[in-house]
Amino acid sequence: MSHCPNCSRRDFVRMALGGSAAAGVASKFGLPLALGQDKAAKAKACILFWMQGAQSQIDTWDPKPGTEFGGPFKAIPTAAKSIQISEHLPKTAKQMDKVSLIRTLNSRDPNHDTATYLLHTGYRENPDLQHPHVGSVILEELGPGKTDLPGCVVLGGDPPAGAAYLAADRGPAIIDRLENPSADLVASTEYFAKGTLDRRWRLLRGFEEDWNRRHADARIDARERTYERAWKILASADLKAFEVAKEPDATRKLYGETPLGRAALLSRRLVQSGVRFVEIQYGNWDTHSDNFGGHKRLMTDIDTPYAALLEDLGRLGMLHDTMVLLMTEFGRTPKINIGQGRDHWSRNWCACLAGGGIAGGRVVGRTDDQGLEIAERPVGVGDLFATLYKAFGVDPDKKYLTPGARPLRILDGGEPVSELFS
Amino acid sequence: MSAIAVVLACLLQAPAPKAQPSSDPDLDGWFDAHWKKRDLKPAAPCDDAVFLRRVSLDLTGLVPPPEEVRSFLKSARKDKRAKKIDELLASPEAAEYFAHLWVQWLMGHDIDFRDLRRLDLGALCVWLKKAWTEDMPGDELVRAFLSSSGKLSENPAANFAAKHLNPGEPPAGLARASARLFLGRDLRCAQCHDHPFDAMTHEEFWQYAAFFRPLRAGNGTLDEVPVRNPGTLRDDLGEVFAEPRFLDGRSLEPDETRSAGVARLFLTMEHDAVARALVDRYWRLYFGRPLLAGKHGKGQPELLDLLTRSYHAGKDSLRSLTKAIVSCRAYQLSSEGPEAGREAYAAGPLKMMNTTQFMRVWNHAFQWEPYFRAQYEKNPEKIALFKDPEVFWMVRTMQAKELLFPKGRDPEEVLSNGTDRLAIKLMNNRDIQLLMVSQFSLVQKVCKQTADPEHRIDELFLLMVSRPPTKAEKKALVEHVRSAGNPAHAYIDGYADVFWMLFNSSEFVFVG
Repeated sequence: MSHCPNCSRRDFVRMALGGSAAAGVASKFGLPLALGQDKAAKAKACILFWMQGAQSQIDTWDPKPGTEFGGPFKAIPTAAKSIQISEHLPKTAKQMDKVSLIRTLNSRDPNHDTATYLLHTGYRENPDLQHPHVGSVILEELGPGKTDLPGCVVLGGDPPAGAAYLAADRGPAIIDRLENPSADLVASTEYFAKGTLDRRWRLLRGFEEDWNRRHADARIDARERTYERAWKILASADLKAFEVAKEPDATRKLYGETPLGRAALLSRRLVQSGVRFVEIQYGNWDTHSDNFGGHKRLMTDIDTPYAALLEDLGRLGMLHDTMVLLMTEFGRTPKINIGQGRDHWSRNWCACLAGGGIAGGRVVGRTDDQGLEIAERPVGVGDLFATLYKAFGVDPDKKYLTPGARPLRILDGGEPVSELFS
Repeated sequence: MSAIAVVLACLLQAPAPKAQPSSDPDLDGWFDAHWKKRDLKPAAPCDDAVFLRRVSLDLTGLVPPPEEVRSFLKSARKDKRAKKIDELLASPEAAEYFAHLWVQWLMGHDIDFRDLRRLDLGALCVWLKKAWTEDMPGDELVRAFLSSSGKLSENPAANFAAKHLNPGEPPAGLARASARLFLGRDLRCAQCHDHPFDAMTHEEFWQYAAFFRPLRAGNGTLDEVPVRNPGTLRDDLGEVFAEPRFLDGRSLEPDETRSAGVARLFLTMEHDAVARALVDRYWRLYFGRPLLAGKHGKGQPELLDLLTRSYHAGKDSLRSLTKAIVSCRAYQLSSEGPEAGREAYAAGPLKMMNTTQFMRVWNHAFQWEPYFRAQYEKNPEKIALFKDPEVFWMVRTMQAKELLFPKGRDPEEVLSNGTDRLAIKLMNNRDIQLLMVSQFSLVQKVCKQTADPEHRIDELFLLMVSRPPTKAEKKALVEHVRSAGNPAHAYIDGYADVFWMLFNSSEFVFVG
């Protein structure tokens, strides 16, 4: 318990229950229960499937078969009675009792860059101020787990936001290639004899000391800290989390032997080793032409890994405190263009939430028969973030000091979607 | 050059009579008064090795070759710094650096393969090199960027506008980029809402953007097309209908073409805004801090006035402006000591390499071009990329930028402190590690050049940090190579350690 000196008695009891499946990630895998976290909150870790390029809502989670703009895909029943989804998500359909859908997200921002930023920070882009990545906020509020690995990891692409005004180690660590995520992390014997990196590191520290001291400068200090963090990762035994190949055959098969399948399995292993937030970026869903060919292929890509992660986390007893999100920056037009594509649409689109205290099998919001307008219960991006923060017990009204000593709330307005909490 | 010589050299430049602005600004006089007023004691002049590295990186974006360091350190000539400045300004490397810098400024961080196909960046580079060599005045440069159109290969300056226009989208990107580059103003907020600090409304932004509406970027072209209803522009939120009106409220003259008119409106804006933004940009390039007031502070309005006047007196020559800045005493001070000294200009500038410098130095340190040529020799499609060296440069820069700027949004951002990802790659990335010892590498080159361990260490230091090692450094590193390196491989791995150490050091990545 030494890593958690201020835990309440109740926390202590929960942590002492570590052996049981119900204790989940928090106690089993070295994440300390967060200090000051709302006790009702269940979520301790998060895995985000980021559908880069804007996923079409009608072709995935809000099907309108047989209507003017419905497109060619059929809708299929799922494990949740009230939910039908696209026929190209058959494995996911079997897991929908764990997942709830918001079908009425809206933002009025149809621009990839700014909307991606909004959906990663809860804030609209501001040239004078960078806001932190949602994973950085959760990491800051819940504190890092017992791992040398960074607390927030992004696989497969560049997130639009970093640590911003939080400490640099709260920022997302970016692993750019899904195909070989550990390429830069694990020194290959192909070019490094054992001990080489360690030897070089000691050499560098000794060499730099004098020059750095003579040029006292905050940027030099920051750079030194960056290198120290990088070194801590490179030298860490926790890198074994990347050894996905050591998982049993059955598990690897469940996730699928694809880059995304391995990344999903890796995300579970990262959370188990104490990482708070993992984002996996996958796309490109920006199907201005051949929308249906593109979406069929991409849905086939995500179906197995996404469903496997939900099933696996459920089986391991991790789902109750690990949130699994599937989000995109906006939706696509109901109207099909002359190139059989769909364009940008920010008036209504979907997000999928599961685990971490979120009830499964529910639908929030309804669009009209053609999918053109919200018929019931619009949900703003602020509401979505308020929901996430509530699940993690993060107080959205807490203020951080930004550069220029301006206090800024974690979230600027938004009400949690109460229907998602049982 | 000793401190006395610097002072003497400055005294010899007779101050210009007040009524007639001189193209040679009395920067040393200004700084003397500045230090006196604030009771500051300026740092000692930097030593010759530091000066040579600083001025080489700032004028050519490259570190000096070892033989140049040696002869510069050996030379006893009193005017060797001034001579070196002239020599560097006239070098082809300076023209190339000018071109690479401007491409970076004009295009922003997000050049992609689509841009390489639809734009003609090779032609732009060639045109920019010529602009530097012929000392094209700054206002002509700006006019060309704002008013060129037609085939991009024949009108290379039009690549700027073509880059920032997207088919089917209102020209907000071009409007923002033009204000940022040529006026030093960031209008990004006003695109979506009334700007809280810049006294600009949402509507005013779209009125200004309406000037760019007749421009269409095609494949390799930028055309000006008649717009059916020239008065209106719907923004991407569908809220604003705007008549073209410039940032200060002016409009085109009745008989004026759009292209000539827009350039005129920029260049005749009050407070000499375009010239001041250019002067500020060049000052920032060499000193790492702005003269214009902005989000980083009040700037130095007096100094900006002084430099802008002399810039005009020198016929808007960016070369003369550059020469004046790097010749002044403040630029040539030691950058050692606490940060406060550098902030007050009482010590020399200490900057992180900018992206262009970093890429140019990186290219050199890893001997990238020969390495990749050899890699791609059997792949005719990829080898085509190398036919145009400028395009090769763009591709490499593009790929590296992704690494340097994970957030990729602030177009004026310099390398910053680097990122964890960058540090991890530089320390451990497979390709980078292989490059360090490839047959083309500097490590192999140095080891072939000489068998003497001390000499090898000397060369690596001169190549990377532009100074010989200290005695203690040399002794320790020769020892290191003997103990860590494999004698069967001529200790190459030991020297690779030294190269790795230098490459990852602050001394290398800062322009000190």
